[in-house]
Amino acid sequence: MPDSHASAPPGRAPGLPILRVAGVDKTFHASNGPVEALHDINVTIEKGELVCVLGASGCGKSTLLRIIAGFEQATRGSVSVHGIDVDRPGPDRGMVFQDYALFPWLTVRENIEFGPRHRGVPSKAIAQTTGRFLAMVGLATSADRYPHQLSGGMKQRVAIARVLANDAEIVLMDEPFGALDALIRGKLQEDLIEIWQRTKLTIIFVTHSVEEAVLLADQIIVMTAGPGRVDCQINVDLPRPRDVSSPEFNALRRDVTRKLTSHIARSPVGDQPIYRGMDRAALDAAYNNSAAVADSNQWLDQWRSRSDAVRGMPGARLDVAYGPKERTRLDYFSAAPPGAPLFVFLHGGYWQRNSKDMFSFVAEGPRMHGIDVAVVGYTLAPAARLSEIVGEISQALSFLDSNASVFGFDRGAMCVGGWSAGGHLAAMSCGHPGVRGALAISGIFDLEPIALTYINDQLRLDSDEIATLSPARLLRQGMAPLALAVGSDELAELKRQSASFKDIADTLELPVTLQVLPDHHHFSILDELARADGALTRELLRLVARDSQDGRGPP
Amino acid sequence: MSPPTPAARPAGGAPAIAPPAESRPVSCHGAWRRLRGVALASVVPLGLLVFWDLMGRWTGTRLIPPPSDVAVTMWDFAFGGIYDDAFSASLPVHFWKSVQRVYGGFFCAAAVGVPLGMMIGRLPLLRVMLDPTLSLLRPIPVTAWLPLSMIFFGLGPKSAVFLVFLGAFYPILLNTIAGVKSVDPHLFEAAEMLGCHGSQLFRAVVLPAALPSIFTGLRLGASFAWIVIVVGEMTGVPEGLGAVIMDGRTLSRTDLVITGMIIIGIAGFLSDRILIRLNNYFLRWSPHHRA
Repeated sequence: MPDSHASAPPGRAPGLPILRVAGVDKTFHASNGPVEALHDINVTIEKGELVCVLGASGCGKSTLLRIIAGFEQATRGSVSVHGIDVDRPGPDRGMVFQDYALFPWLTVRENIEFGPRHRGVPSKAIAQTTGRFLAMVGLATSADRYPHQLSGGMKQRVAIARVLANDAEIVLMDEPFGALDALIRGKLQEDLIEIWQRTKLTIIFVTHSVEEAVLLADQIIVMTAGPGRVDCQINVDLPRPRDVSSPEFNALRRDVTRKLTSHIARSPVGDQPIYRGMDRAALDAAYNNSAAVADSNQWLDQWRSRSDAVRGMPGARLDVAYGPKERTRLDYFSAAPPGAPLFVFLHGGYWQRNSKDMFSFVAEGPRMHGIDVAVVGYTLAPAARLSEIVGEISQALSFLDSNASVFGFDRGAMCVGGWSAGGHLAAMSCGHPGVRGALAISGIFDLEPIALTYINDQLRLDSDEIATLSPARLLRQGMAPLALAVGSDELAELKRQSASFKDIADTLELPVTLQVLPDHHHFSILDELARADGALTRELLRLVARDSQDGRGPP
Repeated sequence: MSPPTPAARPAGGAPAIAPPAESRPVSCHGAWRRLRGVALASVVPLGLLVFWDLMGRWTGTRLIPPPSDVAVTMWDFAFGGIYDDAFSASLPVHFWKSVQRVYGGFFCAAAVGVPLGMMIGRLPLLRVMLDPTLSLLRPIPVTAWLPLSMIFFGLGPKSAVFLVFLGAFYPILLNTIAGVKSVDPHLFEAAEMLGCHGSQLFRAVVLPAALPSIFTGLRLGASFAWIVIVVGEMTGVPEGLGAVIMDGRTLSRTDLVITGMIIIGIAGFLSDRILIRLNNYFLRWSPHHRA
């Protein structure tokens, strides 16, 4: 090995870390506004470390690597090598790409010689270096083949030899073995560790495989998405060579997996980059289904007659202002006995000028069972942004909670329910201190796809709001039990959202249930709540049951 | 599924994957195949000759000579000794003049088209500046330039070279641009991280990576050059295959016209074979681009 790898090259300050990433932000400008890919990344890497950057797809780990390599510029913050800021590619940081990126017109030997030749190294020295690294990666007999004559594993060996021969001090590897089969990958992992131990190189290895990270790394940097940030750094002090079947290895692997999946769950849209493949027209079609709209008009007629009937009941409805604005009012429908449970209903369609008055009929079913109902109004988009709406809901819940004695309901039995976009608001309310349980009917749980549709003309969601106002991000231990309900004829996208939200909650072992109601669509499902014998009313009864064992928190 | 244990992994050495064998055809088998290829390829031309001959006899036309007359004229044109007129044994002169003009124009087009295409493909500023102009000039047929080129270069060979240049230029330029644009961006990143920057990238990455497309452009350009040469040599040049065809037309020597046509066809075919040889040599690293 050249001595440059064994000791710090002269002229560089001793004691400085080989690589420091300080306060790096990265924002991409997409067609629908800026997307923050990385937020305040701070990483320090010492010489000779093998560091794995671990995270789900879309958490920005590759972007971070590309910023370190100099292929991308950080929006804010800096990357320094030996204390010297770098902002463009350089031979000190060699990149190994997942798709190899070998020059197909050059033989194996010429590919390895490419860097030294362009840096003006004398031919004799080049031949010597090339020969050594060809031998190190086990390709001495294939030196004169072209890349198309090599297997994937051999190509990746050439790519590794190429950066080694170029005197790289830091080797950046972007999921280098991701495209290889398990056997070849295992062999290359072993060889990489051997090369690393012989050369004392610093390696930053990006992967989404927990096992690979635990097998290779001195230190694992776990990243979390939306926007990408470093969540924690885990030191791996298992002895080498590591035995993947040992209990210690597997304990650590489970530990890291748990950390990783909890971050997946807390990221706003899980780890699914699913929307990136969907076009705007398809999403608009999914939300603006013309059949559903026709149903909606029909259904609106139905509720008008129903709500008249409800209003006809003397003394039943109380119109109360809970906040200073025009729409921050709620309708309180009292069931006879004091000390009844309270069901707080949050309507949806806040970008479609819906109002609380349209939804007063939902009070019917719960009231038959002696449950008080409060239908909450709030400021609509675009007059209010989603963050303000969430704030108003929280204000309404606090208002009700603190005035329980005035209204005459049981303070310990307040449940929140919401329909459609209100389902999103209800799920967000699960962490509110006064809430005992929540019901999300035909709920919307992912904001990212909404932000890509016409709906966002009214909502004006930005990436910050998407990141902070998604219910999946607020899921945590100690939240109130949440029941999800969707109609079997619901829009596929909304069914998917409920199912994936439930999956995330299951991963975290949180008290979330999901039921699919047969023969219901987006608009008809609310009728189920308005019926005394409806499935949703039963669900509500279960949530508010005072003697139930599953109150707040996990069992 | 349990992860592979270290013991389960293959011990040492490169993965046991054999490279694709360099297939050297067995000579006897290869010769037979080549013969078969030639035989199959000759079926249609021979059939056309027979058809031509039969149609001539059947219609009794005197405007189109039979194949045998054309063969005699061709022999006379090449070697003389039959008619002993102005065209006898003049093939080498005419052929040589046409080759000079075709390759003169073609090499000029390649010398301008390839570097310009590489720069347009790589430099957005240049692309924005030149793209509209080029798109505007491209649909103008080469023949439409004939009067102007006679004003620019006068009557004579220079004008022909200019037209050949125009005909070959666009296919070469456009294919080069397309080739450069389609280079895998990772290759540029790989080159930069290995210490190859700026203008070095053109020689080290852009040119070789775009070479398959450039060769496509060169082959198209060369075939256009042979097409355009007849037009180019209409304009008062005394020698050249195009001039022979025009003379044949003026003198009502249809046998001479057909002779000129066949020779241009053969010349274009041979020039393409040369380019294919070069293509296969320079693109030996890419099995997809073998022609």
